[in-house]
This record gives sequence, structure tokens and C-alpha cells, in this order.
Amino acid sequence: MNTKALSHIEKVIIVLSYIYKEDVSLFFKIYNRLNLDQDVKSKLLSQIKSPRYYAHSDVKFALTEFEHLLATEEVVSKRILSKIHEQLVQSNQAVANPAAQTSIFSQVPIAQWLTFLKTQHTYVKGLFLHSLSTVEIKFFMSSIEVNDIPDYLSHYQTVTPSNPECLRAFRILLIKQNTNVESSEEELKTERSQKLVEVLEVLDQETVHAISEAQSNNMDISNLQPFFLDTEDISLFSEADQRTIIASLEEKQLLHALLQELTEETRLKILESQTERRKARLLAEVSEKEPGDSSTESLIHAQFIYIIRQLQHSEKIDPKIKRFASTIPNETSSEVESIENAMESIEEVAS
Amino acid sequence: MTSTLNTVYLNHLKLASSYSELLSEKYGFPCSIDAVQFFQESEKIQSFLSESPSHLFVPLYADQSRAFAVFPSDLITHFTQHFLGLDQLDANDSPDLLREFIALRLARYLIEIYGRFDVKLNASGLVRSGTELVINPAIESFIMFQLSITHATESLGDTTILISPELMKKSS
Repeated sequence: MNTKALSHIEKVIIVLSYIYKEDVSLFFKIYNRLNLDQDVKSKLLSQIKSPRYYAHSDVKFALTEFEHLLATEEVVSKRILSKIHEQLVQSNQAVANPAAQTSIFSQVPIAQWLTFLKTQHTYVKGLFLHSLSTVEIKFFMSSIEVNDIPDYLSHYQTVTPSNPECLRAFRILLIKQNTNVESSEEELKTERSQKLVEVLEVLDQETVHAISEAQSNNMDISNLQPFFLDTEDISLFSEADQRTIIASLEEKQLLHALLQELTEETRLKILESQTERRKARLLAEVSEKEPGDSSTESLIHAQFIYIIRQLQHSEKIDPKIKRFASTIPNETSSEVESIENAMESIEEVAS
Repeated sequence: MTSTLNTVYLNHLKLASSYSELLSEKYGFPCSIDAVQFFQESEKIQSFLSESPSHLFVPLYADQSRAFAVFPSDLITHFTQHFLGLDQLDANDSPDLLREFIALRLARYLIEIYGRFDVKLNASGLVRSGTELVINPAIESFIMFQLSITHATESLGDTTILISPELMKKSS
């Protein structure tokens, strides 16, 4: 693009985009003071948030011109410039503080913050914004609807927290409140899924498949299946746990039946936890027994799983093995992290 | 007043001075505590409890007993207004979340000052209203201190501390 072709509005967009990229809170302070129609401001904001491509020479030209205007005090007085400089220094100091680098959005997802803030008073919203770091405020503003931005800016401007220590404490309180809500909801969901796992795992494959087909719209059993406990999973437990399981099976007179059900390999592996003499005796006893019919087998399977789960619930053996866990990645955290990484790179380049 | 209670009272005069300094520093406006009143009669304490339904009670815990930091609604509104940096704040326009937060902060500053007198207290993080609170005088006994906080010539209200006499004797 020819630099002479840049219109005034394009130069404004380039300069504001640069400020937006460098210090979003400073940008919004400027943006909020623009004496323009709300629609025009919204359009301007959307262009700044997603600027079109400008040639490097154009960007350099616009920024140099802006710098020149600043230097000659045609745009901003020296007093204001030194204030901005102070603010930038303070903002850099805040970033250098390791405690401030922990993103509020990696602890609680943005969607949950938005749901929470919807129910909150203007002052709480304003304080929330004041408690955010530059990176966090940029992420927050880019995550909300464009139409909501003026409201949030207004909430931000309504309050001027007088006590930074108190503001940090308020931020911690908000995180704590929302973390508790999230974790208790997540725990409840996990607990429900675990109960479902424990009901379905004792059923035979055909029944599970039939349920899965019938309930295809309401639940996804395939997500639960990896957590179904099977007879062979006994080898996942530690040697001490295996001994506890075997003792419990023996007490309930299920050990022989179970050993018959296992493959040769797993059977030997499980009996490794036993003494040589006992192992030989058990193997001999198992080989003498007639294999049971399929209905007996499924009953033993169900009883065996029930016993293991009971031992897990009473924490006599490792309760985490084959326990349902949500493994959905936290996209919001990674987004924030990538923004933080990008900001770090920008700072490195700038320095 | 016995010599022990005399010492406890004197300690509270010092505590009040430190507390007003701390509040002035934290909230950026000069406030002072001009009067410290002391009560130990259970009737007086009971009547305070029954007459303070809208006060915010912050329960505090020590090893063997509990205490309360009690703040009137107007006092909380005043500190909320200063924290928010507002010229004016209507009590009805301040959210409960923020009011409880301010009450907890004021209680934490009190805990800090009590710590200087070797009285170890912890806040549970909960805030109760006067109507929610049940105190059985047969099981728990308290002494009550009221610190009258003023800003310029305006009275902001009394911060009340209910604390077990045994706990205070340790500090004396």
C-alpha cells in the first residue's frame, strides 16, 4: 500500500490497534473518551480488535507521525505523557510480580465468570475489571460481546478502588467463590458419572450396547466405557492391593471361580503376589475344577467387580483405579496461556 | 474494675488508637476512635444482640473460645463507599457480597491489631446478621467493647467486639 493513500481514520486505527495490543486498559481509557456516536465507536472497536492487514511501512509511517505529534505536544501535553509513562512503568512492575501473573481465567473459565458477573451488581463488575491485569482485561474484553463492552467500561469507570491491598483480597474472594462453585458442580457431575459406571460395568456387553442404542440422545456410554472395571483389571492394582483383593475374594469364597475366569497370563500375574506354595496349590485346585456355565460366569464377574468397588470405597485399596474422571481439556486456560506467551514475546521484541 | 480488667481496658484504648490509624491508612480518609466503652453485664450484651438485627457479625475463633467483630450497616456503607472511591453511596445500593467483604476486611484488621497484644484470633470467612446469631449465656460469656469511629466530626458508628474474658486475661 502507498503510504500517501492512508486516510486519517486508517492512521487512527493503526495507532489505536497498537495501543490496544500494548496496553488494553490504557486503550479503553482513550476509547471511552472518544466523542463519537455509539455505533461508530462499536465499528471502530471491531476494526481495532481485528484490524485488516497494513503494510509494515504504513504502520511505521503512521506510528512515526503519531510519535512526532506527541513530541510536539500537538496531541497530548508533556504532563499527560509523563503520567502515561508512569502508568506503563507501574503496569510492567505488576507483570513482573509472579503472583500477578497467575491468570484469573486459568483458575476459573471465562464462561463461568460471565455467568457469575451477569448476576452481580455494577460495583462488583467494576471491581472485577479493576482487579484484572492488562493481559487479563484484554482477554476478557475480547471474550465478551461487542455490545457488552460499553457497559463493562461504564462499570469500570464508575468505581475507583482506593485500596490496592483490599482490591487484591476482593479478587481472591471472587476466585475462591467461583472455584468452589465450579469444583462442587464438577465433583457432583463426576460422582454421577462414577455411579453410572458402577451400574453399567456389571452388565454384559449386549445389555450395555442395547442401553447405549436406546439412550443415544441422552447419554454417551462410550465416554464411560474406559472406566468399566473388568476381571483382568486386577493386575492394575499394586501387589499389596492385589493381596487385599484376593483375601477378600477368598473370604467370600469367590477366588477359585474367579481364577477360572481369568486368562492364564493374568492368573499367573495375580498369583505372583502369593507365596510359591500357595500359588501352586491354587493353580492345581483351579485346573481340577470344571468350567462354569455362562450365567455363573457373569454372576462371578458382577460379584468380583462389586467387591473391588467396595474395597475402593472403603479405601482399603487404591480408589483411583478405573475411577471416572473428566478429561475435557480446559480450552480457556490454554487460550489465556497462549495470549500470555504472545504478550511475553511482544515485550521481548519491544525491549 | 479489677486490675486485670483495668489492663484489658487500657489495652483496648491502645488497640483503638492502632485500629483507627490502620483504617485511615487503608481507606485513605482520616478516621479516629474517640471513645471506647466497656460492658461486662450479660443483660447489656443480650440487649445489644437483640437490638442489632441489621448489624454484620463476623465470628472469630480462638483455641478455646469464639469472639465477634460487629459492624453497623452505616459503618459498612461508609467504608464500602471509600473503597469504591465514590462520592456517595446509598446503603440499599451496595451489594451484599461487597458489604460482607468489607465487614471481613475490617474484622481482619482487628485480628491483626489483637495479634499485637498476643491474642490469636482467626476469621472463618463467614458473616452473619444479628438475627442469625444464637448465643447461650449459660455456655459462653463475653465482655463487650464498643469503639466509636468518627470521620471529621461525623460519627460513623460503633465497632463492637465481643470476646471471652478468659481470652483477654491472657493478653493482660
